[in-house]
Amino acid sequence: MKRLNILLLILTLVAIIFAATSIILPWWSLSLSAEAKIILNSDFRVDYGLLKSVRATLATQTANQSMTVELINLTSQKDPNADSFKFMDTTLTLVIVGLALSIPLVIAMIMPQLSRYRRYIAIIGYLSSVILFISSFYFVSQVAGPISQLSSLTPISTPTDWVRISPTDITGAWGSKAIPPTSPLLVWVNSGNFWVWQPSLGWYLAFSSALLIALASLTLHLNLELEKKQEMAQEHRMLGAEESTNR
Amino acid sequence: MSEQKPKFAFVLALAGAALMFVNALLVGTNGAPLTISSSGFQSPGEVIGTSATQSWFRISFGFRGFIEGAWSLFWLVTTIIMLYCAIRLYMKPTEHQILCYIIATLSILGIIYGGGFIIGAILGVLGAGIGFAGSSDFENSFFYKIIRAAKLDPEFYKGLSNDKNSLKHATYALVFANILSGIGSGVYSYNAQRILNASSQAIPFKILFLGEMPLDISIVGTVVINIGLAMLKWMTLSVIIYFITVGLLERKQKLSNIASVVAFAYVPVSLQFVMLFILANKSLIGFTLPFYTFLITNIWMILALMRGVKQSLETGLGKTLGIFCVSGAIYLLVHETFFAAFDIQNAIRFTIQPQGVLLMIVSCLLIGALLFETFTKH
Repeated sequence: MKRLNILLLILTLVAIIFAATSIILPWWSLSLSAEAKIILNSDFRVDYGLLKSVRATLATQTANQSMTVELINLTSQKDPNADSFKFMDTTLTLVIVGLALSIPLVIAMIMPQLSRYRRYIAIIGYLSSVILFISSFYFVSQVAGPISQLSSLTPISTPTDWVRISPTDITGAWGSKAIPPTSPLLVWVNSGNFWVWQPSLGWYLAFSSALLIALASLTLHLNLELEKKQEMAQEHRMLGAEESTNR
Repeated sequence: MSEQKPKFAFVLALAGAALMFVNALLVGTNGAPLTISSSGFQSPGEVIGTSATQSWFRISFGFRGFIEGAWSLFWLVTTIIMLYCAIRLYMKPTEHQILCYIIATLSILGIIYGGGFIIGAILGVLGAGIGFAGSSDFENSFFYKIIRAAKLDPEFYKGLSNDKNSLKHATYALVFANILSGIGSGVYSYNAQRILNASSQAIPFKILFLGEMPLDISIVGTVVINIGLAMLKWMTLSVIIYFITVGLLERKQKLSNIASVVAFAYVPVSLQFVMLFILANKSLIGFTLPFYTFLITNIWMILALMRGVKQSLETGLGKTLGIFCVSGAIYLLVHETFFAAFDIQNAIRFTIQPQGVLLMIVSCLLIGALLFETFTKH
């Protein structure tokens, strides 16, 4: 089972790296749709991070621009701890707690002397996974409301001939704004989106991390049951052998 | 099945699941299919416009419409289930049958989001196939034989005459290879026709740039006809080689043995399945792209057939080449007059035109057979 332990260790380490990097990576983004990018030969993306920073990048045939600002700069509020973005702090706390709870899994796999505590460690692993799941789903359930109340979605202004997007267009974590029927872009596509928004890499990493930790904990748990069954079977066999020699 | 660990199947399934996980994660983050293209462009008109000059092709991982939003989460969860099944296959080999069914199903379903860059799905299916046979008998499993056949393993081809299951597995291999090749070439051909006969720019735009995959029920017919035609070609080629080796060279050989070698040699043709992911603009889609795909897979198939014939007849390379030249010449004539004449919907076919060229190739092959002293009896 040594090989299995190494595999579980790798899985857990990958999950921890995913959860840790998710903290600094963007969790939600607004960008040009694939069709708009190709037709305009441009790229535009606004990434919102858990640490309340917003990074916008614009690349057109004539200009390249990039800017990072604090989220507060896009609101009409002056208080950086404004209630509307408290959900980001909650999510961050949940990710950190989930991350911290996954550490015992690694320790248990590295230190064989802790093997008798594996049952409890598997339970802690399940808990870590559940917390990371909650953080992911809590974020997607909350993000649209505060974003729709921003004064502007991006710190960089987009070219004037592009389809306008306002914060009130954001009604869910996933969504899109279609190319209007009068747009010249429809020469290439008969229908399509101009803007798309969705959870970003950080969110996907946190979600994947929850899945991987759940997998590692489940395997650890089942392995424990399996070992117990094997031990019992061996004991049974030994008892049988002893009885037959006594007879 | 014993509790012995099915390590080979486990490693293949695990590697496949890992690749599929990375693929699903990237597709989810991207919110659109992942695309690798031959070159960039300033405007779509350079590639698909009426005055397009650029030769361009792309490989797309994921079908638009099935990977966005909640779909991406669903696919991520399926890859974790696949990972779990692979680990469970190692932990509890007695449950191998149900686990391998799940791994195979999820690998095939995974093609929708890119199949772990294609390689992941292939590894998953192979791992599941080998794991299904169980660790005690995995060397005799159908999928392990397929791997050995594609690797041109000389011992495998040599051992076919002593394997009681060889003809059965060879027939399965032939059907398996032609199902995959039929799907790949059928979908490619259907989409190529849509691009070539498009009434507006929107059709090639959506297929080529956005990774849309329009499908039609007629593709199923193409796959079925492809299998039937492959059976006929297999029998024809087997009989030709049999008559040359037994009738002309007076070698002791069973038709079933030659038929097994020929059928297993068809395995590389299954790689034509990758055409499901590759498409190009008008300048490449009609001939160049399918031609090179068919050329590579058919050269591989010919090499496998040569290795198989050489090993089963236990002849030298010169004699094998000679047998190949004669069989090839006869098969080409039969193929061009009979098989190439079938007009199948959504099928890719190549014909040698004008007939003078065909006769020249046949003549060259026969001269080659004489040079290799094929008809000299030692």
